[in-house]
This record gives sequence, C-alpha cells and structure tokens, in this order.
Amino acid sequence: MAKAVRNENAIGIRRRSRKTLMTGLLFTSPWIIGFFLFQLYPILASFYYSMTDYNLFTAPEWVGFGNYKKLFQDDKFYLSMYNTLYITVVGVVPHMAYALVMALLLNAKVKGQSLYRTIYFLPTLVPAVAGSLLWMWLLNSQYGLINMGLSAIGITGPNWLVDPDWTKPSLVLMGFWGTGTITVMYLAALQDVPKMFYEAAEIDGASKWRQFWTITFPSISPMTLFQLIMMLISSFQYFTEGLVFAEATQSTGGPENSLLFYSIYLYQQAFSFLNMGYASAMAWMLFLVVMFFTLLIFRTSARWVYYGGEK
Amino acid sequence: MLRKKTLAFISSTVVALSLLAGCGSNNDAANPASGSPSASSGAKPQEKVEISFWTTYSDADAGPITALVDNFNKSQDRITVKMLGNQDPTKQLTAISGGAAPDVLLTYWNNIGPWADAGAVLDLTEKIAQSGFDVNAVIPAAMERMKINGKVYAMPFTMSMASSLMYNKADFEEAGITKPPETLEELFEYAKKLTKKDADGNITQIGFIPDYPWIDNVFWPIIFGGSWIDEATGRVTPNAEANVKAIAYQRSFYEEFGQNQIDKFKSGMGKRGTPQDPLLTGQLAMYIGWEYNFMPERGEDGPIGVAPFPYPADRPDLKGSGMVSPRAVFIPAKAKHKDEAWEFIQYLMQTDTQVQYSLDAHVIPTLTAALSDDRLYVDSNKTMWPFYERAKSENLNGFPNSPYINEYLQALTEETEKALKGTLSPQEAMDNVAKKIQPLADKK
Amino acid sequence: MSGPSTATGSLKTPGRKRSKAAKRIARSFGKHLVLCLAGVFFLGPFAYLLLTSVKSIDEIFAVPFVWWPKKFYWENYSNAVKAIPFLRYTLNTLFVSLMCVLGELIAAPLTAYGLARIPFKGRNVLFMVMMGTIMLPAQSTMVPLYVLYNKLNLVNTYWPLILPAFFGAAYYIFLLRQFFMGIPQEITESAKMDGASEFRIYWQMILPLSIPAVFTVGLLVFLNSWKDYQMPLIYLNDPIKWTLSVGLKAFIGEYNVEWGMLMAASALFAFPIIILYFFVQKVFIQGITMTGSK
Repeated sequence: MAKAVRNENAIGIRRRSRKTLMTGLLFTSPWIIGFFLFQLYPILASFYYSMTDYNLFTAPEWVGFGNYKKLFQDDKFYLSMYNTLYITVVGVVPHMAYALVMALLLNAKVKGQSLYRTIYFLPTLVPAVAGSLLWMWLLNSQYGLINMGLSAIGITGPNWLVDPDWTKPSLVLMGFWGTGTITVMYLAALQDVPKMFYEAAEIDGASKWRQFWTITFPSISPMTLFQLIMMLISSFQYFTEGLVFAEATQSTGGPENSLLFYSIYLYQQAFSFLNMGYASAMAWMLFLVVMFFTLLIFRTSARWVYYGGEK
Repeated sequence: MLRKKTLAFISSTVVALSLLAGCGSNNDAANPASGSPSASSGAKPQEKVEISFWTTYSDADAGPITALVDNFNKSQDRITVKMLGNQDPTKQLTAISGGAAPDVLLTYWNNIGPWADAGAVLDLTEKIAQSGFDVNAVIPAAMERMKINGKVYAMPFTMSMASSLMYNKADFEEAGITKPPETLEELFEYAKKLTKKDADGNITQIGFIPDYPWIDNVFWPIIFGGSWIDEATGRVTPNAEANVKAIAYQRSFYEEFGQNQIDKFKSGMGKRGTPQDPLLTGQLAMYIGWEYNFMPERGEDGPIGVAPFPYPADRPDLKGSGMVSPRAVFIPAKAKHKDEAWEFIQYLMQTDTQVQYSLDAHVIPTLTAALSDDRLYVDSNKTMWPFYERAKSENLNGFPNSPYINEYLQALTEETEKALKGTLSPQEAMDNVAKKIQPLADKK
Repeated sequence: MSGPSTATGSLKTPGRKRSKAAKRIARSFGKHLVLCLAGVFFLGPFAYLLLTSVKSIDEIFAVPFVWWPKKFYWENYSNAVKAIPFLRYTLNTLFVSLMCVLGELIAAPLTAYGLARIPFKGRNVLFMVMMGTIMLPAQSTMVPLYVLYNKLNLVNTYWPLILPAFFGAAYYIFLLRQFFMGIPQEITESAKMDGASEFRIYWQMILPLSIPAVFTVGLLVFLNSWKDYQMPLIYLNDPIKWTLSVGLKAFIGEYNVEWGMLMAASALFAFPIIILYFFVQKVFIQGITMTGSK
C-alpha cells in the first residue's frame, strides 16, 4: 500500500514537472522559435567560418584551429584587446554609478520632475554626427571648453584627441552623456521599491545613507546585475563611438592605434582585408572572454542580488 | 485608466500605419521595380532589361550621376538603369557575398584588388576584347589601378588627383614671397619663412604640415619617385631608398618646428572644408591640393593659389608627379545582366559622358581625349583647367592594386606614423612594413 | 527665490515650525540646485544641436566658439524638410519602430515570464544560451544573416527589421526577467492555490505590476529602432522605403556637408522620441501611485 502511494507521488511529481516544463517552454517559445529560425544558422555559420580560410566569396577552406593559433601571434589582437579592456574597466562602473545617482535624484519628488527627467534623457537623442562635432569642440586642446576650464584653475589640459594616452579617457568622459537609457531603466526599477520599507525605516530613524544601502540598493540589485552584464557585453563590443572618434583623426585606429578596439579590428579583418575566417575566430574568442566574465558575475550574484520573488 | 487609453491609442496607430505601409509596399510590388527584368509593362513588344546600379554617392553628390543615368535611359529603349545611392562598401560587400548582387557598382578603387582576388568581380578582359573598347584611351595611371595580376576588373569612371600645391596668397604676400616653390627644398625654406611663433615659442602660423590632413602614405613616395613592389622579383619595396627619403623629408618638418608645437597648433586649427579652414584663415600657408579643394576660392581673384607640387631638386625628371585615386565601376561575377551592365559601363566611359560629368561634378575625366575637349574649357569651369593639364602628366602614379592592398596601406600608415613621431627611424619603420607585408605578397 | 508666500508664512508661524520649514525649503533648494547644475551639463548637447541648427556655416565652426547665433537661419528647417522626402521617411520609420515595439511587447514579456517565474527543467541553460547569442559580435553573423533573409526573399522589405522583434530580443527579455523575479512570490501564490492558470497570473497580475518596466522596454525598443542605421541601410534597396536615419545621409556629401540642414534635420529626428519619452516617464509616476495603493 505504502509503496503504491509513494509511486503515485513520484508519478505526480513527474507529471507536475512535465507540466511545468510544457508551460515553461510555451512561455519561452517566442524566443526559442526565433532562435531556430533566425539565429542558429548565422551562429553556426560563423563558428564554421572560424575554422576556415574564408574570404566571403570562394568556398571556405578548412584550417581547423589555425585561425585561433594565429590570433595568439598577432600583436594587434593583444593591442585591441587591451584597448577594449581599458575602456571596459575604466568606463563601465563609473557610468553605471553615475546613472544610478542621477536616477535617485530624478526620483526625488521635486517640482518640475518631468522636465528634469526629460532633460537628462536628451543627450541620448543627439545623433552621432552632431554629437561628434560637439566633442571635437569641447575636447579641443586649444580653445575647447574643458581645457579652458582647466586652465582657469591653473591646470594645463592634455591634447585629448591627439595624445594616445588621452584618447580613451576622452571617450569615457563623453560616455557619461550616453547614460540616459541606463538612468531610465534605474528609474523604472526604483518605482518597484515598496514604499512601506522607507516608512518603517523613517520611524526607526535610519539615515538616508543607511536607507539607501539597506533598502534601495538591495531592491534594485536585479537591475544592477542586468546593467553590469549588459554594459560589460556592449563594452567588449565597443564599436561605433570609437570609429566616429577615430575618423575625426583620419585613421581607423586613432593616434598610434590607441582607438583600435577589438570589434573595430575584427571589422577591419572581415570587411577590409576579407579575412572572414580570422575575423570569425576573433568573434568566438571574444565570446569566450565575455562568457567567462558573465558567468563569473552570475556566480557571485547570489551574494549581492536579491530577488523578491525568490525564497 | 491612462494605460488602457494609451494602449488603445498605440495599437490603433499601429494598425492604421501598417495598413498604410502595407498598401505602400503592395504598390511597390506591383511596380516592375524590384530588380527583376520587367516583362509586365506590355506596351513595348521588346523586352526591356532593368539593371541595378549602386553608388557610394549620397544625395548631396548624386545630382550629376543621376543626370547621366537619365540620359542613358532616354538614349535607348533596351536597358533601364535603376540607380541606388548611399551604398557604402560594407553594404556592397554584404549584398554581393549574400547573393543579392546588383549589376553594376561604383566603389573606391582599393576595393577592387581584394574583391577581385576573392572572385567577386567579373574579369572584363573578354568583354573588352569583344566590344573593341580601347583601354589605351584611358589615362594610364587610372587604368593601372583597375588591374590585378595584369587583368582588368573595373573601369575608372572618374579620378581624384593630388599633384598640386595650394597656398594662401595673403600669407605669401606678407612673407614677401612672389612665386610658389619649385622644388621640395624650396618648399621647406618657404615653410620656415611662413611659420610664425609668439614670445613663448608657440606656433601662431605654420608654413606647411606634411601629414595634414592625413598621413599620406602614397602621395609622398610618388613625389620622390618611390615604388611599392618589384614585379620582376615579387618583393615588396616600401623600404626602397626613395620611399625612405620621402618619410625622412616629412620628418624634417617635425624636427624643424617641434613635435609638440605642431601637434598643439594643429589641434587649434579650424575644421577642414568649412569657412574656418586653416588654409583660408591663413593659419596654414601651404597644403597638398586635390581638385575638389577650395573650388570657388582658388579662382583668379580668390584667396587661394594653385601651383604644381614641387619636385626633388636633384630629380627634375619627376616634375609633374602626383597621385591618382580613381573611382571604379565594376560588374559582380554573379550579376544577372552582365552584357547590359557592360553596355552601361561603356556609356560611362565615352568621351561625351566624361565631359558632361566633369562639367557637372567638377571631377577629372579619365579619358585622355576628354582632357583636351573644348567643351571643358568654358569660363564657368576655369578652376578645373590647370587640373586637366596636370592630368596629362606622364609622372602620375598610384598605389599598385593587389589582393593585400588594404593590409599594405594600413601597415604603411601605422609605421609612417611612428617614423613621423620619431619613435623609429624612417628606414626601420619601412623595413617593418616590408617584414609584415612580404608574407602576404608571397601567398598570393 | 522662494517667493513672498513663504516670507509672510514665516511671520505667522512659531519659531520651531519656521526652522523646520526653512530646513525643508533649504533641502528642496539644494536638490534643485544639484539638478539644475547637472541639467546644464545634460542640456548642453541638445542645446548645441538646436542652436547649431539655426546658425550659418560661418558661425557653426567659428573660432572662438559662438553660442548664440547673430541671425537665426530658420530656413535650415524648411530647406531640410524639402531636400528629402521627410514625411515619407518619417512614416516609414514610425511604421518600423511601432511594429518593433508591438512585436517586442508581445514576445519579450512572455519569454521573460517563463524564465523568471516558471521553474522548468533546463531554464538556466536556456537563459545562458540566450545570453550567449548577444555575446557574439554582430559583424561576424551579418553576412550569413543576410544570406538567410535573401533565401527567404525578404531583402528589400521591412521584414528583416521587424520580424526579429516578434520573437523577442535577449536584451529586453533579460531586462524584464529581472523585474519579474523581483515581484514577491506571495502575491501570486494565493491565485495559484485558487487554480488560476499561469497565463492568467501573467496577464492579470504580473504585467499590471510591471507597468514601468514594460513601458521602459517599449521606449527603448522604439528608440533603438528609430535610431538604427545599419539594418535599414543593409536591407532596404529602394530609396522610397528608407528610414530617417538613412535619409539623413543625404546631407553628408563626400567633400562638403550641409551642416545647417543636417543639424536641423537631426533636431527634427529627435523630436518624436522626446515626446514619447515625456509620456513614458509620466507613467512612472502613475506606477508609484499604483504600488502605493495596494
């Protein structure tokens, strides 16, 4: 008898888990179908190319791991990876922190909140051509606003656009203007923090600073995780801004290749040198690096990300 | 409440718009304009073939080429050319590789080498032989750029040319200079005279910057009679004596005026091609001139003077040297209507067409005969006259087209930059280029 | 600054209350000050765009820089609108962007719900595969993707721009997943006990609770689709089908750029998104009142 009940239970659990699986698949089916329809073939093709000599026109020639081996002997592979890591390490966290501070300020109940919020979003909407003109002027070492400001307090500003040591910091600096979308997402996340938490804290007499670290920050930690990972991924694929900036100096890689970012070098290999095989190997190498960091962040996230939906 | 209303509004707009656009695209589909030959027009018994022609020109520059295409479409009733502008090389490459190649494309000449080598470009040898097209009627320096391993893959529709020195007349006058420099040695002396510094040693006006607006890794070696490949041995020759001399000459300006000083001054110069262009404001006195620079300002009464670019004093045989950068038209190997495409290209390469285009777009024709055509020598076209003359020079040259041309050019730029900054000697830098590129040359 | 009403008010109120009010005013003043200062920084680029759009070419590149134009060249706007089929491009762009929003808002929340709140077997693997697809640089899959669309005969149609949205993009799915995971289980538990289906819970409880998130996604999808240049350029071969971002290139010639018109057109280009944004951020405020009332 007891055995039968246990069996029934096991069947029940299995049935239930199968039902859960079916529901889960049903809900996620849009993406899964799209993946098989539009993404799988390009991804597999790119992986196959990475194992071949392929010039985009004649049939790919199998070379096994040859392209990957070549990568490690390529000076520019290391250089472009260094430039990319630089912009990632120096850029991601400050931009994120800045966006969060802005979101907190914009979430405060002040008159004209809507107006302020709109203003902060505006730079995101300025097209690149107009934006780059503005940068060129701001960062100009002679008559640019930044260096004029610096000289007013007795500092001789660097030659931002020409000195290879300063081209990447220039990009990071300009990146602060592009944080509008991150701010919006943080704003949305802040709307989900239950108000009663703050009321309780207020009664306990907790300071604003304490309230931020004990209530706000944990509550929006899922958003912080999202931003950290997505900004990491996009920073590793840093492309357009670098190209616009470098073009202003009339070369693909900027002064002394200081703006030769990984994706730009990859693009050059693929579409200028027609080494699609090699470029694909670069793409997959980047995939591995980014995947490694992403998994690392997900691993640690259990310690600092709190989901209200988890028990 | 607001949410429901907004949602309803959004969804109704979407529906309305999708109907609108749906109608639009249906209409388009009904039109025989989607790349396939149109048998549906019915009116004409003959089958009219539609060929697609992609160019890099955006609307801002597309006027003259549109006029040519219209002309061609009107001139005969077998072929309709449908032109599409703003097609950058990445798009061109993606479409050709992706199996949706148009019939004719206009692109930058340095794409021809790699694309032809990869098998994307139709070898024109046969078409040229069949139609009796005279390749020798084309300016050799332009035609040479269309050849890979001796085979012709494209036609140079137009060309740009750097063989002039442009200068600020007021700067010259102020410095008491009455005529432009003859030789490179004079150019250097003039540059010194035309450079001013303030009390702190900062440059306030400069005579000449050899790598402004960009590092010119083809122009300078040509001026010194350099070369890039020895066809006989298959060796690349970026480190040949003349090439190294060309770099050393450029470096001498930096040694004379100071690296930091030039860098600093350069960053304070106005934007090129605007009213604040440094040559117009006189911040910069001399400049490597192309035919498209300072179109109105280089007129007789304008502020900008034009002269032949100087030559090395010990090489008077190099007088009239200059660099040619043509724009290529080609047929993809997988084009649907190759014959019609070739017919259109032939039209583009006719003297009448070339003359018309030169008048409209102020470019240099690529047919030798067109350079002397009376129709070009009208007063309204006066600023172009000296350039037509200079285009006849036998010392015009260009970078050899090859499968690895873009790697070669990139390496030259990188190493020249190091040499100009003084981190490497010109010889070391160019040896590096040879080391990097020789393996690629051996492979092909 | 704070007007006569506070001044008269302070006369009547007792001392302690006054100092409290003063503190509050000081604090709100401080907030305004910070917001204003930062606002100037953020307003900069857009103000620059607007001012440049009415300048003459001489003033755009003047050295030293000229902020305020001497004469306003309003004709830059009318010329820009006339120079390209502006209305047609706007409608095209609007169509593509709204379709993308529609598609993404159907597909992304559904998938995100599945990943966030249904503990099915293999969901973590599925999630990592999804993340993996965005880690591969687009440059390496661009050509095979084009081949695919070409085989499907969809080149030179809007489908390659719109279709992917209807299957959900990893970026938005991940974003919504984070929001959905943050909603406490207790809220949906009782509904589950009562036998409500997952879809009903999704549709009637989770979605309404995530209004700010869903609107944010809608805004971002619209914005990205509106600004996208590469996809329309690659896939559209008929100038009449072009979107605004591609159309704007008409002002950029090889050797000369119509700066005034380009800037004017760029300002017009940004305008619809500003309006949209203004309304979306209003929803945030509404979101607060909703959570507050529950």
